[in-house]
Amino acid sequence: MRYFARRFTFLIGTLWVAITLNFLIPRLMPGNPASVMMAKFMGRGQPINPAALHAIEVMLGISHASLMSQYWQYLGQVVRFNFGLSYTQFPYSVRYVIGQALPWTLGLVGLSTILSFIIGTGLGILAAWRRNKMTDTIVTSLSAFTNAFPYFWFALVAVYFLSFIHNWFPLTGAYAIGTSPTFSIGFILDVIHHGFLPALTIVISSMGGWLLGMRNNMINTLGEDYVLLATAKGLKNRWVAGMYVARNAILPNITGFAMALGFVVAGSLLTEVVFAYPGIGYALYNAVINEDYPLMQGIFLIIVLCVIVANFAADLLYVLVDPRVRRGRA
Amino acid sequence: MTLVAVQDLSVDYGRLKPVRAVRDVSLTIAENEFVGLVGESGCGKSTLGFAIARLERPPARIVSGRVVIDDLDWTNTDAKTLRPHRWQDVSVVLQSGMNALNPVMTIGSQFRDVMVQHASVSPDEVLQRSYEVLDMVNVSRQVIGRYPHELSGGMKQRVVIAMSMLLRPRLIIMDEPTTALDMVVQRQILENLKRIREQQSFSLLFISHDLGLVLELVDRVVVMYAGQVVEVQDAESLLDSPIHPYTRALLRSLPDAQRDGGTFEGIPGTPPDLREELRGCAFAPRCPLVQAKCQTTSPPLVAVGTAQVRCLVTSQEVPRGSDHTVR
Ligand SMILES: Nc1ncnc2c1ncn2[C@@H]1O[C@H](COP(=O)(O)OP(=O)(O)O)[C@@H](O)[C@H]1O
Ligand SMILES: [Mg+2]
Repeated sequence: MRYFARRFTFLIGTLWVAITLNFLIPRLMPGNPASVMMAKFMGRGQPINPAALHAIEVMLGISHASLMSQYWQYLGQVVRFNFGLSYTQFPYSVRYVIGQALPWTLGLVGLSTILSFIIGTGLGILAAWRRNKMTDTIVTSLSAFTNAFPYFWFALVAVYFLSFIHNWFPLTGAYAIGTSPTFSIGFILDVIHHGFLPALTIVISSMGGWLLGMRNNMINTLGEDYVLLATAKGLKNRWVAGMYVARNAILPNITGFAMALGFVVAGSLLTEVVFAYPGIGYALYNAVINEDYPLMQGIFLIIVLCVIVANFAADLLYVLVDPRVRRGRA
Repeated sequence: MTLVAVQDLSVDYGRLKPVRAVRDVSLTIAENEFVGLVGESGCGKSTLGFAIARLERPPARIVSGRVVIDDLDWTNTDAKTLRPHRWQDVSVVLQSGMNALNPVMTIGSQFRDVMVQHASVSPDEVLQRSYEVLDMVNVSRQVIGRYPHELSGGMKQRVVIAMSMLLRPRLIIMDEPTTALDMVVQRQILENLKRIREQQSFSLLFISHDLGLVLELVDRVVVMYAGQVVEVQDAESLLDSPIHPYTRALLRSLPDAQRDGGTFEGIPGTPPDLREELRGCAFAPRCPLVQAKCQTTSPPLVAVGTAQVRCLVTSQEVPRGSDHTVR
């Protein structure tokens, strides 16, 4: 319980620092979003009409109040997940834009991350248990190969051949243009059809890392005394491989996995840009191109939030899987 | 009744310029007999112990010889056939301080898995037997629900010894079971083993570099030097009349409790490189009684009375009946 309390305090502390930085950094940067917007509308070099500028500032909620009072206001907004209006998708609020994009990212990248962890770890266990045999050689060298692909290149090649040349998969989007999200079988199949290729590229390119890591941990663990003793005990092979080797070998990967889940939102950028997938990464890409500061700020906050919460979850998960970090037993 | 017969066992580490850690070792262990295996660190005791239990790990490999336990040739049996015999016939206790217990399983579940995978037993029987063996080693029954990291080094080692008794094995191989523990705990464990012997019959191969400790516990001592057996003798007579110069040196180096402030006498010199073929007696470079023939002739293991000795000089010293070559 004390461990939990400590981790929780730490979580709150990091969250506060992150939220504060998210407030400070844009405000310490030179430039004013309202003038950016004016310049965009009127073309550079035109004289800026102060009244129009003020109108835009009011519209965008840009304040000239003291930093401190802005900060209090900002904290209140963060708690209510209210980040103001998006410049580019005006008049939608940032909250609305993020709300629309987040489920797609969590579904596509989240599921792919989980899948690649499960498949990679499973194959890693298999490869280590049959090490230096045929299965191991094939699986290990293949994953060393896929692991070396630059993701962007790999995704583009996949799109080019499978979607553009062969038309097996749609080129862009999360569902067919013209339909709108409903809970019908047809729509769900369409979503799977659209999501399959991006998911495949993620799984293939990240699976190798899990596989090699797990294989490595397994081989180290195989050298442990308790594994030797398990053999001496005449336990069944599967039991030894599972409870004595894999169960211990997976421990270092648990943290890595929770962290990977935390980076799902941040890491979705490349996939979503290549596949024009309407998730957070794509929204962030558009926000950056269009200098949509409120949207960027909102998305950054979501990303930081995910990483911090995942970190916290990793700590808690570790307590569950490794008895050595459990303290103060009830 | 002979329970274990090791015949001409040789074990190498590696293939290119291998270290021959065990060299043509033959020894027997009778039923209910406690045998001590002693020698300096690095002389091949652990390698031999692991090879007997067929637990040698690469790069170790048995190059020749046989290990017959209860009429089953363990060197010539595949892993699958061997599995049911493990722990049932031979259990092992690893060196203290090694992490022999799985850190993510409770002690209870590490007792349970070996019991349920060897016989169909009820949860009640598992618990009953677990309590029994814990009682034998004087460890609180509560450790059943504990994880290894919650126990002290001495407790862990006693738990490991308890675990080795679970299936009432015919032979237990203990490799330096008390070496990393302090003197008090070491003594307790020794007393424990003596008491367990009264409750349950089993043979023991007790491996240690500490001849003094071994002599307190065992019936017969096997002395190893540079991968070879150099002397085998009953514990009592060994204490009175060691034959091999190496055994004598080992005995002299014991801190003698009776001699107040007895000086610790090490054995000068170092053992030979085990990668090399031995020419003559392996102990010759360090031997105080060395003669010219020792440099050229490899001494065989010969019977001297009830003992066996590998020495050209001392085996002739006191004629005790007719000498004849054992190997
Ligand atoms: N993994 C290994 N690889 C190569 N040589 C080894 C290995 N383990 C042990 N040896 C060698 O085998 C010899 C015997 O080692 P060991 O059986 O551990 O001795 P002891 O238990 O008597 O101290 C030593 O000389 C050591 O150098
Ligand atoms: Mg040893």
